[in-house]
Formats: sequence, structure tokens, C-alpha cells
Amino acid sequence: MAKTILAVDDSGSLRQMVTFSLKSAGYDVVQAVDGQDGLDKAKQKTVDLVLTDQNMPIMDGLTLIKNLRGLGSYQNVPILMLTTESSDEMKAKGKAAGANGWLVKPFDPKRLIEVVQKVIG
Amino acid sequence: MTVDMSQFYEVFFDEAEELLAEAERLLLGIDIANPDMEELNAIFRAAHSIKGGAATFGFMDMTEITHVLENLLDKIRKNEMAITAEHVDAFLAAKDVLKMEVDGHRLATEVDQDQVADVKAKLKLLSEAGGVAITAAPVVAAASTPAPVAESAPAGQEKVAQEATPPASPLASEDGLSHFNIVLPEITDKDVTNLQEELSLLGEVSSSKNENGRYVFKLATDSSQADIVSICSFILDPDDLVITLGASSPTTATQPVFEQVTPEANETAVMAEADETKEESKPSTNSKVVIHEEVGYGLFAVEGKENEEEGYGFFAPFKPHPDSVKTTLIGDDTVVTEANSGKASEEAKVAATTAIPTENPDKKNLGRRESDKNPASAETTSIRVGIEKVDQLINLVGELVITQAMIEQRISALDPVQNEPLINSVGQLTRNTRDLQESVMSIRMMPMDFVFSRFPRMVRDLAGKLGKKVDFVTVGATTELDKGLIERIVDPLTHLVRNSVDHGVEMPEKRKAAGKSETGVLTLSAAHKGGSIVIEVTDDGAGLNREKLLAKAKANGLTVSENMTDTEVFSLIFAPGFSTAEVVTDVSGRGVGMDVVKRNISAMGGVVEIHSALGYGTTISISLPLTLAILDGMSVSLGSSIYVIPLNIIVETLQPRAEDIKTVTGEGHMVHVRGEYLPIIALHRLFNHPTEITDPTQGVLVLLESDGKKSALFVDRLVGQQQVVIKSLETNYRKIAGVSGATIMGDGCVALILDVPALVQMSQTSNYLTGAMPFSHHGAQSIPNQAV
Repeated sequence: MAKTILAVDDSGSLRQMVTFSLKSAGYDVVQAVDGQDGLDKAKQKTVDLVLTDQNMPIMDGLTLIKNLRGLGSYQNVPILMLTTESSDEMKAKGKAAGANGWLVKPFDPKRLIEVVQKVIG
Repeated sequence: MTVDMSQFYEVFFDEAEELLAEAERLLLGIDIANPDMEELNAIFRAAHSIKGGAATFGFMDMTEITHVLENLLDKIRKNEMAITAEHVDAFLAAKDVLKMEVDGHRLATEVDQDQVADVKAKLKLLSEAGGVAITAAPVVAAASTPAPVAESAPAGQEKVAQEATPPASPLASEDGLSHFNIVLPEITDKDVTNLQEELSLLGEVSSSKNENGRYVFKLATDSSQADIVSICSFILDPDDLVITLGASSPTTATQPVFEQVTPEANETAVMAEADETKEESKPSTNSKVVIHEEVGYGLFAVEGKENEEEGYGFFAPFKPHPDSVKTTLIGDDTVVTEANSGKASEEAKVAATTAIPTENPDKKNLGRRESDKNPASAETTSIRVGIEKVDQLINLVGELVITQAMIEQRISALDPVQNEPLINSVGQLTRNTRDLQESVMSIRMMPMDFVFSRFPRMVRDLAGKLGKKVDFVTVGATTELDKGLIERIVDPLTHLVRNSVDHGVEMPEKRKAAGKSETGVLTLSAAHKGGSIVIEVTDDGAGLNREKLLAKAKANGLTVSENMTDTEVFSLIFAPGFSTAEVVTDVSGRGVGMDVVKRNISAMGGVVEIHSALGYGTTISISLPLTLAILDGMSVSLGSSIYVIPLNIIVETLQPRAEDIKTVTGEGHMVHVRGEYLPIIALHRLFNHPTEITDPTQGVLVLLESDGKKSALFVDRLVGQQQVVIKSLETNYRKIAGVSGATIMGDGCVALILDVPALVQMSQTSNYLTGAMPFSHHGAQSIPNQAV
């Protein structure tokens, strides 16, 4: 069965691009528009991978990651940050929050798929 | 796999426009003395999102502007800089430029590059001006002496070197510019070209290759290293860059500061560096190194190295969880030796795969169904449809309404007892048709906010230009109006709002002297009233000066008298070429406009009224039909024909007594209604239409009010009130004076819809007034009974 990826981004165009790319690579995608929405969707269904933007209204990516790691079902689900900020500070924060890795924006669909495949096959 | 990115462009453009509008709204509302953090964050996020999208979809021009914008906003939201009015102006200008660029990409409209450059320069200047004092400190703190830099350089090939910024000032050359050497990682020639282009925005760039075949850029700029890193980050991972400050002399600059290392050297290098970090416990931490330490093995380096160049990375090979590792071992019969072996990533992949929670499949499916039911994104709740499709739908429904009315009429002739089931069914059909019509009409409805939202900015800019203080308030922005009308109301409203700011609201001193608050209030409101929408532009300014208007009208050669009512006097401003402004400003006052406003609104079937009190302000109210397709009308009969009068201009109907009808020489007949004398317009005479009823006491007078004037239309009798679908007479036949359109009645006959303002005008100008030639064949225009 196709694996499900939760894509969290407040930008609709980015979300569509990510969704479209992942779907064409054979994944199922659940979209969320901000951290809170992401958390709600994540609770509804435990996904196989979470891709989250950092800078979002209502709840940012780091908070989402921390919250997800606080859920029993998300202890071991890989989480990647999609971020424009690739500073070491941001990476350290991401790691501290519980992210497994990061992907620097902008990225093209090919790169995204490549990374996702590396993570969940 | 290739994905055609252009399919996402439209969404991005829409999104960018939305974000820009939102940012503008927030900027206009910002309180400079006490800015709301949430709002600043939201503005920052808007810039940030646009930058992300623009970079992803390859709109580099937008990326550049948003990038500088974002930097400045970031400083402000981090309290490194206080927001000033100048900032807000610059942000608004940046918004305009971005909008221009969006349009440029989307509609291929022209982009004014000078304006773009101006805004960019302005933002940069602001960003540097205020930020120096605060930002300088961390830069110095982060800088370390050149020696450790050189030592950590081999590992730095990954990322470290740029971290260790040499002190900037000593190396800044005489020309005030810093000379950077930037050693690029292995990237394609195309990226090199792009990068060079991007960097050339900061200053002069020259490129060469070093002995390892890597490209080296020399950049002379007044920008900071952070700026370089930011710009580069759109094309490559800045961590791969080696940036050093060089002397201005080109000979020393060609010499790369850091030795290049071969990939094989990496592993040890990282270990060495990690050790070094531990020992020296450098305060300027490279958090990547810290991560290595925490993880405690070198896998990150191997994996990280490979991935770093691609612009992503994993903090650890996403820790396989204990269970899954076991599974892997058993299932694969593979011995996991060292975490940093070349197999690590594959291992991790397997681990992660098996780590996927394989819950009860039913539960999973349930989850999916739920999430399907709950579409996250706004775009799934709306679809784009061409306007012509909607118009066709409306047209068809219009036909349906007519057909339905016909059936209803036929049915009324049948025996109600014998045909009860049929009559009931038709009743049902009538209700369904009405509902359908309403829903279809609502497709074309748009909130007034679509128009209102453009004004806050305009008022702000105008007020600023004129040195006035104006608070702009909108009321009823959610009120809906037909799309066609919305588009046509923009220009007239723009004129009115401009006029209010320019002529209505006084200068602050003048207001103060008059005992008013220095800040004027301009209100734009929309509300439903009966079957129409009323849009009002209200200011609390000087008001219209009756005497001045009269004097000006006289000077302009218009016929005026002291006896004119205020409403009539105020209406003078709609006369062509009329302006009382003593000084013609470049904002308004050229005397073009108000007559155009009036004409445009009349063409939309609307009515303009002015209320004003000297010293207290002016209200201009526009009343428009909700839609151009359907009209609430009163059908009246004249001889054998039916005419339709728009309901919104009917005040009342009455049958006059003989003693109330007066004849005034030269002015025809008048009717006396509750103390008022109103001119009687006999439709049969105006249209030269045969009828048996020529005495007003035998027929009906319909009192109409248009343009602030009342008159009484004399017709045979009232037929009924109904909604009619408007058909253009002009497109199907030709334009006829006094008639605004036609409709098809329930019995299939064509009825003409009366253009009341035109009728009033006709009654005043034609020789109809002499009353000498009833039923004559000249003077009034004769029209065919059934025109279509």
C-alpha cells in the first residue's frame, strides 16, 4: 500500500507542488495548512513521513515537531523540515525539536522525491 | 521524473497577490508607535512565503525584492530596529513593485525596472542604516582569528569556513568596499552563471578558476557577508561556500585562502575537527559539529557530506527504532557493523520502512476516509469557471423563468378542481425556478470588499501628498453585488473618494480652527436597501457651499436661480466642466470627473444623490440595482401595450381627484399631492401612443423620483408587480429614447422597460409641454409596440 506523507505548508502553491510531485511518485499525501492543522491531521491518521515548513501562522514547524514527538504514535515517524533558513542555528533547533533532517527551499520536485525515497523508500 | 512547474504558476500568482493584499492591509493598519508583534510577523511571513514560492518556481526578480524586504522585516520583528513611517512607505512601495512583477509574469505587462531598482536600493539603505549598531556586535563576536580558521578549513570544505568570519573592518579597502573571495562547490556552469548574475546585484563580480578547478568569484561590495550567503542560498547551499575577505589587490585575491581537500580526506577531517571543537570548546559554535558530537559517530559526516551538496541533510540516519533494527537484522540477515559505513543510508532506509506503523488496516482506511472528507486547502473548496459559462447559465435560467411564467399563465385559465395535481406541480416548479434563479444569480455576486480594498492605500497616499490627516473607514464590505457592476463601479467610486479627500476633508489647521479633530474621517459604506445596493462616500469635511456653487454655475453660464433646492444646487457639481476648486491640484479639481461619474452610474441603472451640510461634511450616495440581468418592476398598461417601470424609483401611485389637477401655462399639467405640485408626464403623449384614457382622473398617476426630482407619470392602469428578465433592446433592435430595455412577459408578449430619467428629460424638452399636439405624429418619438 502506498505510503502516506503529511505535507504541512501555509503556502498553497508550494503545497500543491509538493503534493503533486509526491503523488506522481506514488505516495499518498495529506495536506495541512499550518502547524495546528498538521497536528490535527497527524492525529487523525498516523502517517509514514512528515514534511513541514517552519514559518507558518498559528503554529510553526518547530512547535509542530515538538508536539508530534510528544504523541506516542509519532515517536519514530521520520520528520523533515522544509526550510529556507539553512543556518546551523536553525538546524540545531530542528534537531533539538526532534526533526530527522532538513531540506532547503527552494528545491525542485526531483530533489524532493529523491530525499523522500531515501527516507521511506 | 519531471514535473511541469508551470502548472503551479497560477496558484502561486493568486497566492502572491493575496499575500500582497494582506500585507498591504496590515501595513496600512500598523501603529508605528506601538506595532503589534503578531502583525509584523504576519507581514514577515507574507514576504517569506512569496520569496519561497518565487524561488521554487524560478521568479528570481521577485525573490530578490522579497529577500531584501524579508531581511528588513526580520530586523524589525526581532526588535533590532524600530519601525518608522519611512519603513512602511518603503514596504508599500515594495508591495507595488512585487505586484507589478507578478503582473509582469502573469499577464506579460511591462515591469518598470527603474522602479524596481529604486525600491530595492531604498530597502537596502533602510536595512543598513538602522541595523548597523545592533548587528555589528554579533558579527564581531562570531569572528575569530585567521589561524583557527585555516585549521578548520579542511573540514570547512563542508561548511565551516564561512562561519568563521574574519573581522570585516580591517580588510575593508580604501574604496569603502569589502572584497570577498567566494570559492564555489562543484555546481553546473548554468548555476555559476546564475550566481554571478545574482551577486552582481551586490557589486562588481569577476570569476576565475582555482587550481582545483573550482570557480572563485571576487566580489567588491558594500554588502555584508550575510547578504552574499543569502543570495547564494537560492542557488546552492551556502554551507558549501567558502567565503573570505580579501585585500583589494587582485593578486592576493586570486589566491584561495583555504586548501581544497579531496573527498577521501573528509572523514578524518571531521573527526579531527570534532576533537578540536571539544578540546577548545570554541564559543563560536558550529552547531553541525555539535550534532556530530551528540550523535557520537561519524555517519553524519558521510551521509551529510553527500547530502549537504544537494541542499538537504539528516541529523542522524533518522535513528532506526529498536524494534525495526531487530527486524532488519533478522529479515535481512545483514550484520550492521558501523553506523558510518557506506551501507548506513540503505540500512536506515530499510529501518524506516519497517518502522512504519502497521496498524490495524481498518483503522488506517478510516483515517484516510476522514482526511478525504476534510480537505485541508482552500483551493479544494472553490473552482475556477470562465465568466462566459456563468453568463450562459444566467441567460438560460432567464429563459427558463420566462417559460415558467408562460406555463403559469396558461394554467390559470384551467379549471382548478379538475387540474389540481397539475396546478400543484406547477406551483412546485415555480418555487424551484425561483430558487434556481437566485442561486445562479449569486454565482456572479462578489463582495464589495473587492472594490473597497483598493481604497485604504489610495486614501493614505493622497492624504500624505496633500498633507491631510484622514481616517478611512469601510462599512459593509461583505455586501454582495453583481460582478459586472462591481467592475464598473470602481472608476466612479475612485473619483468620489479622491474628491472627498481633496475637496471634502480640510487641512489639519483648518479643521482645528473649526473645532474639529485634526484627522478627518472618510467612510465608505455599502448596504442592501430593498432591491438595490446603496454605496455611500461620507466625509466630515467642509461640506458643499451653496452660494459658491451658485456663483460658479452662473459664471459657467448655467441657468440657476436662488429658489433652487439644496439638492438641485448640489447636483450642479455633476454638470460637465464644473469645479469649484480654487486651485486645481494634480489630485482632482480639473472639472472632469463628476459628470463622468454621474453618467457612468446612470448607465448602470443607478442613481446618485448628494447630501451636504456646510461645515459638517458631505455624503454622496449611489443606489444601484443588485444585478443587471433582473429587475423588480411594476407593469403598467397603456392602450393595448404593457410597459415596465423599475420599482426602485416608484414612490407611490394614486388616482387624482379633478380638483388636484392644475394647468400651468407653458408647463403643462401639474398634480397637487400633499402640498407639492408635481409635473404630470402623460406617457401616451410622450410616446404618441393611442389610448382611450386621456384624463388623469380616469387613469393612474405613478409618482417617480429620479435625480432628486419628483414627477407623476400618467398611465392607463397598473397591471402588477413582478421580476422581469432584462433583454437588451439595443443589441436586438436599436436604441430608443425613453426605453432602457425590454422583457418577455408571461403571455409571451414583449414589454418595454421605461427609462424614467430620460422620460423626464424628454417631457421637458419636447414640444410635448405646449400640450398643443396630442396624438400628433411629430415631436415625440413613435415607437413600435412590440419591438423585438
